[in-house]
Amino acid sequence: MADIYAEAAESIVNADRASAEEIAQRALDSGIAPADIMQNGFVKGIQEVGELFESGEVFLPELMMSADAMAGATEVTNAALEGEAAEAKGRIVLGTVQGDVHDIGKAIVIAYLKANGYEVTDLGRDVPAASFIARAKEENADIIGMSALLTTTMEEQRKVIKTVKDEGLPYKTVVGGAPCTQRWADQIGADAYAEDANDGVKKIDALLGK
Amino acid sequence: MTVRVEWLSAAELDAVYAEALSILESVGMRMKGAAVLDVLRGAGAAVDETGVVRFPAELVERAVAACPRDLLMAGETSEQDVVLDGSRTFFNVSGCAAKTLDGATGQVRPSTLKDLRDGTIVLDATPELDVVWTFLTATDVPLERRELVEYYTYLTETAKPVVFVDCPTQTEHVRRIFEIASGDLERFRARPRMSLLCAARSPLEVNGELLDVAVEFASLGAPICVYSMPISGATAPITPAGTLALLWAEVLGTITAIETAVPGAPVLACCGPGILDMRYTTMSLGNLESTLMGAASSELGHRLGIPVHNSGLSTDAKHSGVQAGYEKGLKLMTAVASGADLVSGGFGFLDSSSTFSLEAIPIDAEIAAMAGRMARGIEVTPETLMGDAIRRVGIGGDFLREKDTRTRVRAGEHFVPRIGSRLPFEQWLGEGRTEADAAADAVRAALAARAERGPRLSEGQRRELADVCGIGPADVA
Repeated sequence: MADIYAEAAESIVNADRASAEEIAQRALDSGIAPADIMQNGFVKGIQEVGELFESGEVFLPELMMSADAMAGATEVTNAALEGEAAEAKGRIVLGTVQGDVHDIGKAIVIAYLKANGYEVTDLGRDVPAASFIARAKEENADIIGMSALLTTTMEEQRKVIKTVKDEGLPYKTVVGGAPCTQRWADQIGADAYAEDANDGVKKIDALLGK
Repeated sequence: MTVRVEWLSAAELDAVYAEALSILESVGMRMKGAAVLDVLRGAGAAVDETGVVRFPAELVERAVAACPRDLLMAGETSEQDVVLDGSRTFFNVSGCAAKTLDGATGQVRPSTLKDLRDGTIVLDATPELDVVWTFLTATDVPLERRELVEYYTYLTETAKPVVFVDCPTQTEHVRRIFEIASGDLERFRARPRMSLLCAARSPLEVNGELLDVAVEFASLGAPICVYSMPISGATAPITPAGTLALLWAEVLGTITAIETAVPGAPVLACCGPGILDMRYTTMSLGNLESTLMGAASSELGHRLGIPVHNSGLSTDAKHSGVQAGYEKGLKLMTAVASGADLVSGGFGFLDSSSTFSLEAIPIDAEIAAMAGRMARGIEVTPETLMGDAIRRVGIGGDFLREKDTRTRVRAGEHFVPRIGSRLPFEQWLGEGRTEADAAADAVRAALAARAERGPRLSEGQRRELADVCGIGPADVA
């Protein structure tokens, strides 16, 4: 039985969605709790993928495919919870700021955050500052994530953060995107700067004490 | 003679072009919200309710035929004029960054109005730099004022042609700026001092509002830099050939929209593809595949009779070190040898054009000068063969005392570096100076010269411009 956990992890490392779904179902059929096979099997796999990505043994397309395999396993285990959503590590609302329509980086980050156990609401692109706040309230979010790819739209990140601080809202703020730097994040008072998807997961884990 | 290198055969170029036409006909481009959609519909394009335009090949080919081959970007006087006519490569800066590598501290920090002003001054003083794109964001100027303050700064600190990289939000003010800079709109049309960049969003989209602004400016005679910047593996296929097909679909689709609305509008095909580095998830412009795609784009553009730009001076290096040297050198030589009309990337830029360095400008100028010298090749004439001199000097003589040696050295027969050192080793060691020191000296000299000369444009022009741009005391040096 211990082997099924190793199989689960391996299916993620191998980025094999079909296999991940089959193993998830087999685990459930054998009486293993959904949270158990996720935490001790599939999550171990995605954590290993993260380490392999950091060390340069896995590249971005493989990371995305592993995230996709994780999504497949999660679908199977969530379906078994009979209407109760699996407990997420945290809730995040994430979008590309107003005036900006670049979203490929955001898509990568969202896929990887979900693969790492976060519930993520994709706000889309060209999102006004007020919408970040409104959706964070609606979704009872822990984190507001803002992506900006243009030098002229980075200021929108500052606007959102200022509102969070001025109104004493409970959300942590994370910024990212090509023109952003740690120094920019510090300047505008963001709680974290995510350099890439893997870094985003680590910073959000740290912010939420996971 | 001029050096030319062939990267793709005629058949290969035709294959890329055919694929681009096929993409435009079968998939189309989204130009949602653009008023020009009605014009395209009237010209035979299929436009659906989501703003996707499918272009018949004959419409695209008609637009290509309408593009003028030669393009004038005018300076403050004709001395600074840039005429893209295929006879040589001109050089540009890049745009638009929000980070500066501070020469004093070595730290990367948000860019400021002072960085923008100093950068424009040094670019203006750099003879190898021909065109100034709006290259830096003054992050210390409030957003609501920033665009116009930046325009004022560019126009009062350089006499060279200017290209607005970001879509102006205040087009009425920009028309007024055209008038002030040129005298009136008729003179602007004859000698367009400013151009506009109109960039697609890969894959296969262009902002409708930006496209309409481009059409508006094109109708005034402003050259339009039609820009495609797809990223191989992310917003474009992983292969260079596939990325080229997508890039040219975007360029041709946007050009067709502009030429259908304003036939004969001067346009520049700007080809700036990148790749997504799959190891570091960063966008790379300093890579070899982008270099090849840029070169091939120059060939295809010229085959179609359109002037071409590419980002031939890009580097992924974070500082002006070894990587910057070899990447910029390799890329630029390729771009120039392929006959690119305008090359950006550009002077002073690092880290895939995301970081600006004042001290990198003189170094990039040297690389550009070297590439330009290489592209001129070797002049072979009876005079340059110097048969008479060889016979006169004879066996075992020397050419040092020949009059031709003296006059031709003074006339620049051999390229003389301003940044690189050819000192004997001990002397070089004794001087203790590096390329960075030489570059810093050049920057200081340019800034000092500006302090003595004062700003560009006449006092009257500056006053009118300041009024239009809402300039306050804090906005000027």
